[in-house]
Amino acid sequence: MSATILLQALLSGMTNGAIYALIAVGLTLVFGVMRVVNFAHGEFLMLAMYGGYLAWAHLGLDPIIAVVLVVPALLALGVGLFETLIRPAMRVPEINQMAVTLGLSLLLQYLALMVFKADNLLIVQDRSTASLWIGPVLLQMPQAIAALAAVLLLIGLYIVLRKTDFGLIMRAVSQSRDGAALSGIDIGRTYRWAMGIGIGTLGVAGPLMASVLYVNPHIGALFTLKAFVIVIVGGMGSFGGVLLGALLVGVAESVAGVLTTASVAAAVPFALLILVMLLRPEGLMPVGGGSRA
Amino acid sequence: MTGINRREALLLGGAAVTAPGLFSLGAQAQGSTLRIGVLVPLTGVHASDGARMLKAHQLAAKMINESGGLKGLGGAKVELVVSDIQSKPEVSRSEAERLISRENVSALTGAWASATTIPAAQVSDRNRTPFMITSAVTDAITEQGLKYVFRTAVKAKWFGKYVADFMDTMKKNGMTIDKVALATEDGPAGQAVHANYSSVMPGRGYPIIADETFRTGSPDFSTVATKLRTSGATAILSVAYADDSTVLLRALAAQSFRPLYIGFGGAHVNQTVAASGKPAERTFGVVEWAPDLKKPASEAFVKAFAEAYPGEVPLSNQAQAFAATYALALAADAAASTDRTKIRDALRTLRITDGPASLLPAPELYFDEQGQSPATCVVVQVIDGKFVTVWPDAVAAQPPAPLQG
Amino acid sequence: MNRFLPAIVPSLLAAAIFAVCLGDPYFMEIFIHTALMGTISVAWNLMAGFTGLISLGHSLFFGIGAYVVAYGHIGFGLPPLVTWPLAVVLAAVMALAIGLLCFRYGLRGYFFAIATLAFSEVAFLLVSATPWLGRSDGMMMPSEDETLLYLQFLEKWPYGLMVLGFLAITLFVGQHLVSSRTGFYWRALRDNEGAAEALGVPAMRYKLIAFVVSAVLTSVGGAFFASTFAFVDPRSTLGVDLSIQLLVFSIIGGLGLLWGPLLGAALLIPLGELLRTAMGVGFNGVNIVVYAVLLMTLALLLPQGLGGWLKTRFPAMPRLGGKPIRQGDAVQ
Repeated sequence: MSATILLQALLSGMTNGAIYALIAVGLTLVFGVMRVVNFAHGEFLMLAMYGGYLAWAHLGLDPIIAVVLVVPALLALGVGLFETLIRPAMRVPEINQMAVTLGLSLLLQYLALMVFKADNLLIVQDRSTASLWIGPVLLQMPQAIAALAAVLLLIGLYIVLRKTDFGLIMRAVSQSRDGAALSGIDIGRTYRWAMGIGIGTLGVAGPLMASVLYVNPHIGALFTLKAFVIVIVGGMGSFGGVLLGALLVGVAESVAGVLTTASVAAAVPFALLILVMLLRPEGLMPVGGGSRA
Repeated sequence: MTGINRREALLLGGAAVTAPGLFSLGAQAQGSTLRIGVLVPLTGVHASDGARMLKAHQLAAKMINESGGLKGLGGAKVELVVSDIQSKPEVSRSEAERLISRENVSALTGAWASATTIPAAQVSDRNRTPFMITSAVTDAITEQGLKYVFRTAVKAKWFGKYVADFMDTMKKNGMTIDKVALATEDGPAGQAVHANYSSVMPGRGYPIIADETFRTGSPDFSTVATKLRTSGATAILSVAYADDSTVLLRALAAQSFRPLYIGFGGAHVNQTVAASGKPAERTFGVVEWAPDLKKPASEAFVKAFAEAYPGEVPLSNQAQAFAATYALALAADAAASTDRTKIRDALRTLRITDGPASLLPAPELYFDEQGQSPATCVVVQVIDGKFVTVWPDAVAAQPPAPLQG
Repeated sequence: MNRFLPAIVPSLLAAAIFAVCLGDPYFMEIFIHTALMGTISVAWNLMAGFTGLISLGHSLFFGIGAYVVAYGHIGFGLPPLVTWPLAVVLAAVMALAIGLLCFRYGLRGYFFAIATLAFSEVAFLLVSATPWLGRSDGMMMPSEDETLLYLQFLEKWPYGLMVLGFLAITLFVGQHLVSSRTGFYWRALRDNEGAAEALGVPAMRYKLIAFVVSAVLTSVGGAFFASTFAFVDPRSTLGVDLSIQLLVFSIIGGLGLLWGPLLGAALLIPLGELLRTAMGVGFNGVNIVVYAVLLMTLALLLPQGLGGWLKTRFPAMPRLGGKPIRQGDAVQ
């Protein structure tokens, strides 16, 4: 393996990682604050990708601009999801919650299949094949834009969570639901906004991902498990952890892909997850010391 | 009980299974129609492929019926019993069972991918019902001694030969092709062909100097593209789904690396790939059939298809599905029966050289004692955003265009 | 005698359904699929419903069963008589190893679920990459050996009979455990692990017992799958979809009941078939939409599952199995 290929694998791995972070950050918010595992997270990504595609195909909007339209739509979907399904689901055992979100994942995939049909849809732009050379290695333009967006989004969320009252409330609820409730925080409202923002972040990811990849009804499912791996590796509820976990997963996968076959490389993130869970179950960058379950 | 007696008992058991089910009529009782079961994935990951396949099956049935039905069966009509196998092996198996025992079909066809085709093939063989496979390329299917299984698709192991033949032609035309690189999807679609390319190419004077795999849905192919570019390969042989093909082609284009690129099968010769524009331009694809093939039956099929489904151009697997449906009907016609075993026997002796079913590129359509047809391949090239057949000469619409255009 | 009523009644019902399906290969196919999925769901539920350990990686054990039988046959010509026990031993060792790791580090709830999922995904991907296991294409077992030795029959009913036996044995083993001291400890660990441990319940040991028993039964299901269908591939035997189905059947049928998952499978699998055949082509996906809505509704409105609901509706019913999970009981 030459130095060029290793460098390229590292850079690609980091780009992939940043894109994964873009998807996982919403999941960590929901998981961290509400302790709800949303197996339909990838399906909301899929809807956002269709949003980006439709904006490009019918309104002629650049996917970067489409983000402005898709984010509010996804935010509304997130709030709607909370009010209709997640609020009642929080009153039933954990295992039933899993069944609810699994059912939702199926439902959204097949509704999308009925509406959009199964064909792959592509966003084709001049910059689809443009690239930035960094010495001997390169970064494809759509990927670079998505990665940059991921970093900006994480910084933005970090500031919101650290510097605003809203962030304080989120963190309080995340650390102790009962304690927060006792100090007068409206738990239901906090949850609604956590869900809204958690799903809303996919509004950024969707249009940008659609220009990197392609859109079909089953594309979101490819990313749900990976997002879970990242959230747990990083430490749930932690934005820094998401970035670290995502970069680790992306780079490990990419470098392993250079050394062995893609299937073995795809197993690496799961092996990483097992290692982290056994050695450091609170994740690599836990929030407030971290509690386990 | 000795082994031989056991076998005989099993044969009798098989006969009992073939007998009419509880609530259905016997096959012979339905003299006026030939019922063919069509197994297609209409939901799940292969839904778009299944929907396309179904259109071709339906067009074949429509054309047979509109031309007066099956003469050997007194003008009997072909009736398709369509079933959604949901892209799942277990559903394919239970649906094959249902079509045979409840819907009382005389034959089955379809099943798209290898993983969904193999279980259905086993069910039909156990139930002594002919099964005409449309698109699964796994070698083993027609090498396991199944006695009721037939296939219009090419075996995976044959593709390497055609690709090497094609590259020989390109070399004779002055192109430099010495070292090749493989880029294959690391799943069922890619692995069977990958094994074949790896074993064939070195022996034909094309050493493999890079062997890259990827998994479907990977958002960044830069590393794969870099490895292909820095390997010094002058040709890339890829096997990928249409969606990943577009991402890979974009990654290659981003590095301005444009060697001879040969994609594989209906997954490459697909609208999604052509729609990706510049990155796909002048790339090749090896495929079992192409719509601009210079053959009367093929031209008639494309015309009929455009009339039945305005604005649509059929893909290779649809031609196979069309031929599969036709071959079953012709066999029943020749057997003058809707009996499953009689249709099986007729398929063994069937020889199709003209008529609508002769649309595939091989000069003759027949099935050997393993049920395999002598399918061949053509090579197409994306020229100005369209797939054009460029090889072999006998059926080509035009000669290959230069890689840079 | 009375103690085994929750095993006897469902077994007899299954036997009656088996008898009805004898005349029709399609019904028999559905019976086999339903009984197989229902039985391994019962095995899964010994962990989830009774011990509070949600595994999303049970396809690993199913896959071990299926692949040991298939590879044993294809690679070495070994008959099921040898490969089935081999599969069971391998599954037990694997469950012991994974259990020791996970329980030592105190993984519970979602974390245990995702850890087991990770183990099964690693297995799925490694098998998909292994040439001698057929990679993602899977392995077709030779069909020439249509003999009793290789459990290859042309007809379906012998397989139906086998799966019926498997179902009955699983129910009896399950009921024996659930109604013994083991089951008592399991439920104590499920309801409050800390308190149970303080009272002297050896948590590690009894969680391991649940995991190993459940894994062993699941691997028998996988071995049966390979012998019956003579084809194994990673997606259908090691994929996450399989593990998720076990969860779905158990929730719909009733987690706290031994026979609950069986009820779930017996309702949902035939319903799926019915929806698919009734909807017909042109409504592709409508059946799955109906299925998904049903799953969500039941999981929200009947947290005790249909079995639990039946029990509260008809209290006169004999006490079948343990108490259902109460609403609001987090499993952790």
